[in-house]
Amino acid sequence: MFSCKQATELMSVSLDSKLTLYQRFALRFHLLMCKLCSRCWQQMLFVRDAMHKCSEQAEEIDFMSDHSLSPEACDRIKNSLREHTNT
Amino acid sequence: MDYHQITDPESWVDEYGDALFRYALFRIQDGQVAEDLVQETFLAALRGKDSFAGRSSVKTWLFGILKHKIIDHIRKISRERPEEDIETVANLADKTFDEQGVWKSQPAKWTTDPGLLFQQQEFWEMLQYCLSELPPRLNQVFTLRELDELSAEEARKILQVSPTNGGVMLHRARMRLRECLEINWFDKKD
Repeated sequence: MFSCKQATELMSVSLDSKLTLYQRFALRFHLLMCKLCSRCWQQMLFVRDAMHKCSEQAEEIDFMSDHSLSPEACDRIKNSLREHTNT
Repeated sequence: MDYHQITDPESWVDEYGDALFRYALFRIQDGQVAEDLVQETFLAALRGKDSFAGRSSVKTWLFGILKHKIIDHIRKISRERPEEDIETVANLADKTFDEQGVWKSQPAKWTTDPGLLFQQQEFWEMLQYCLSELPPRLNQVFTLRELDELSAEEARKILQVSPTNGGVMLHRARMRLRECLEINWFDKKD
């Protein structure tokens, strides 16, 4: 039986690659026995879903809404666009 | 597709400049670099506008270019400073687990419907806050993996991190983010 810390490590690995048969079995067994790890696993999946949703909606979500491109930066970018259009 | 929009690149700056800048800032957390990335995005769009087929909106197209610029930027700074950040891979066990690997700070029960959560601007602000609380390299490996949806291997190669440390960093980022959301969102809302 491995520890809860090791179980969370395997959960993370399983989100990035395929576990070995032994690892899969060991993790599944641990999750059946351990309510806290099972909860952590659900929450880790939730975090991943939230990140994917965030990526999907990147154009609509108002990130950093209290920041804007400064007027100087706007002018600079427009100037460089103009230069490049003319060349 | 608005023909005017594609023929007048300067109007892109007024229309999409802020949205692109904010996204770049969210990813890179450096205003100067974010401005430069937005400028590079517009210039690349100008060069490529003839091949833009109008299959997506101008905004989606510009965001696509910016996301590539962000990845290139992270690759570049990682090449210039390829150190393995020991702090980010040091022991996670301190606060979360005891020496035997048993939970010290136990995960609480979350009882919010994700479907509703994802419609709330406040939730996204909290997610941004929690991401910004991660050390920069953890933030980068995790966002490359989960926002850009690169493979773990691609993400760690961009950051020039070994497979072992890459795995440890992703684990650590996931645990910290889980914990941050729990403390700042779920404890307060439930």
